[in-house]
Amino acid sequence: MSLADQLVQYVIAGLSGGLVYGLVALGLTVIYNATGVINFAQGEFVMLGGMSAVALNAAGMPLWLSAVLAVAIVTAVGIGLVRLAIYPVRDRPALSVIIVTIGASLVLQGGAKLLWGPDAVRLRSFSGDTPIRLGAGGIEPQRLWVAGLALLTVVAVHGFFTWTAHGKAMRAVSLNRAAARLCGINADSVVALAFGLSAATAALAGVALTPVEMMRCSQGTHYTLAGFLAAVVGGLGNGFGAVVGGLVLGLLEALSKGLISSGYARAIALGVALLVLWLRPQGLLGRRR
Amino acid sequence: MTSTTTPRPLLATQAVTKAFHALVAVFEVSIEAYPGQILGIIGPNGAGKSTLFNVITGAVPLTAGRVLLEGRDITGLPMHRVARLGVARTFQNIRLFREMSVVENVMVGRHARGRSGILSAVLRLPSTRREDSTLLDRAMAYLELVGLAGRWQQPAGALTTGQQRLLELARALAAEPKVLLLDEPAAGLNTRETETLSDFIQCIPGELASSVVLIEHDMRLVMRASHRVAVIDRGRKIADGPPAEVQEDRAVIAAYLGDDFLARDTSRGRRPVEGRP
Amino acid sequence: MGTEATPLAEEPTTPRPGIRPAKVAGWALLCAIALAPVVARSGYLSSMGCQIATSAIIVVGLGLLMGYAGQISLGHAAFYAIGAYSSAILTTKAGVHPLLALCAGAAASALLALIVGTPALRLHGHYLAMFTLGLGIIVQIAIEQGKRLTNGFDGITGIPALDLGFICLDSDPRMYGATVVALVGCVLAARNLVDSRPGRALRALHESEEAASACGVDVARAKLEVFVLSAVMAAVAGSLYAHTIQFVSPEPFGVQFSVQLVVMMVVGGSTSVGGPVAGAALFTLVKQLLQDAGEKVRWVGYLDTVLFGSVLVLVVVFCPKGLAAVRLPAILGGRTFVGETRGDS
Repeated sequence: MSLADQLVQYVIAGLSGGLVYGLVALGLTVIYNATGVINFAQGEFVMLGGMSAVALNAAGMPLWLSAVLAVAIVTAVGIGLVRLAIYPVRDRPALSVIIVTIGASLVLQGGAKLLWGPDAVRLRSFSGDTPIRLGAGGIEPQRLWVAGLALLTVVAVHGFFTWTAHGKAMRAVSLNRAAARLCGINADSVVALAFGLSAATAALAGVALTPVEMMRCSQGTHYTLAGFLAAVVGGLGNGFGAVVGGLVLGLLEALSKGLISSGYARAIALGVALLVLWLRPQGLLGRRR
Repeated sequence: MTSTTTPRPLLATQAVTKAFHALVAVFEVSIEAYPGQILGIIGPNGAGKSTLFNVITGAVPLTAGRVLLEGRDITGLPMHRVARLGVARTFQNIRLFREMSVVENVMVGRHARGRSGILSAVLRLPSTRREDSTLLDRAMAYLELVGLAGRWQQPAGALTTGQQRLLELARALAAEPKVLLLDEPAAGLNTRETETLSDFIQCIPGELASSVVLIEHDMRLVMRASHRVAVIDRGRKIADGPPAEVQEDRAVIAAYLGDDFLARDTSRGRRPVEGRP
Repeated sequence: MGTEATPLAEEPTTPRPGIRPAKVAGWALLCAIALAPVVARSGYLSSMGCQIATSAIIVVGLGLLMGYAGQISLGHAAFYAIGAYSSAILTTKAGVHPLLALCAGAAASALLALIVGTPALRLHGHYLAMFTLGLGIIVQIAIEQGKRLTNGFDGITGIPALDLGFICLDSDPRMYGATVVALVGCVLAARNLVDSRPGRALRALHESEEAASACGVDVARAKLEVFVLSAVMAAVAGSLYAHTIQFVSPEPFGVQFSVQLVVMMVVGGSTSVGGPVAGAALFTLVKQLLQDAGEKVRWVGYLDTVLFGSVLVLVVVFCPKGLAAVRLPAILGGRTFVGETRGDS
């Protein structure tokens, strides 16, 4: 296989992986805009989506139904998280809220371990495993599923914020919380909506991803961090930037995996992202404050 | 003050402008604070007085213009650097360290005058202990000065509003600043407290700080205490001069102090500003 | 109100709280517990004690970072790892004296903390948590992959005992004693710091960064200093750990441990000096208990993460100052740190 063919493969893998990071980052951004806090349990939604889809599928449900149910379950978990853990501390300093989300991530991770054990699991691919030929190499069809679903979700989220009343209310809250409250927007329901929305998108990413990448209960932390880095590389608070940041991170990881070392790939991607923040704290697309 | 040559201003802003996006909060304002004097700044709510303080102390970056301290350009320096160069301030909405004791608040106020670093603090070296004990003495002296020495061990949050204002004053004075910026020190005080405060503030220049810039809504306090008064409205300086002059300036009075103030004041036979040294 | 700068009349003295018998009893109890492994010359108790004491050292530093700088670190396991691996590599492969290796580990840790902390603490918000999380993952990968230095997953064996010259700490009880001494040192350092110029600056900026800066406090630098201090404490703990177990492998230095350290700190609370020790003790004991039980019933062993997560949430919601701040019956001396005798919460 020529280097060019290999590169094409890495880029495709990087873009599809990057879209997943971008989706997680988008969810983080939505929550950040609604609450001003980073949700450390965000990656657990990805893990939970994948793991529960596997469990439902193993229990005999058809693939599509387990996927839909998994997303629904994780969305419910996200909203439940707000009601049970975030509401009681909403008036406390940001640090308390952050620690609560860390605690929540432990609970979700531990719950998954308790239910399904610590081993990695895999979901059946949506449309078989025969590679689609591409030049001298091939590409797993599931990667296309991942990329397609992620793109669709990004468009849907964008539509939600542009056209629906709820979306507009959430944007208003992110611009000025006090003013939004004066306009009669219920900040609590906006927060719940934000968590539900980002749980759903993350879960969808998890479901789509589990056939290509193995999923295990300890995997969530990685997605939280990758999502956060993507979000800040793109300029924290900027949804479009989050997706771009995710793509950058995914490409970095895939390329260093293929060209440098598979063992160090993640470290390299994280290191470069941290370096970017060191040089340009406002992110690639962010404005200097 | 009585020297024949004009003394160099201790603190000066030169055509300072601060815009928040489209909103221009301060537009080309130049003020000068001279050694041994109190400069009063008055103006309606939202005129940009506090923003001016924030720009001077580096709390917010300015859009254009320069800030000079003793002729040195301090524009754009971070807050702690400005503070260390000798600019201390109080806040319009009191910002004390509420969970720390009264005396500790004053000790933090003197932070810039200390030296001991984290390593010597952790090891509690003799030099650190000596520094701390003299620091405590000095802090108590400032509490004595504002009359809060009896409450030195209480948490600052437990004080009344009036006492909190005094504590903020002591905290700012403890730095032995060259310029003291007071942002509405009399807000929330009753008439008697305001009176005492006014006497106190008049004794600051030359004694406890070289120069004072005073933002205040209490017109009597400003007119009585200040050597010069600058009037700011909608971000622009519209008058600057001795209180008597500004007070006489009918346009200013009518436009910014209100017509009733004018009427009341003239009815009293245009009494000149009282209580000035 | 006098307007002249009169010299102060009142002579201020540092407040000295009266000695209460209950408090003395609490301390005595604690000392007894602390001394038990040495007296009993028990290997099991000592190694348990070592685990608690090493964790407690790191948590003391974390407590300073969170309680005063208002920041959390999710990467302290990385500094712990750097201490441990510096000791392991330098003593086994370069024949460096253990004490020198310990210092080298602390220095390397401090340097890394400076590099990571400088950008993260300049930014508003909670970037440090994420930066340190990233650092933790990178360090873990580096240890796993840098096989030439670290032997990867196989780990480094044959780390020599810590020889102080007048005594060689070649048994668990001895090593335990040394770790406790180090812990006491760190606790004293923390106490000294809180009541000092930089400590007051930290407490001040915790309440209002703007007012603190207006007083001349360099907020970013103050936070950075306490972050570096906490990293050094973690590295020292790591070196002590390496000399206790005399073997290091990547496993105990993962992100999981970083998060567990945060749990210990939050559960114990950072408001009192005893909080971190109580948190570390409680956490380590419960974890060990679950692990032992897990050998018989598998799912009990998997309970730990869920349990620690829920405790973390519950403590933040219902008892934000940590369990050490809970008022105990007077018999235990009010606010002492006998939190670990309360058992599981």
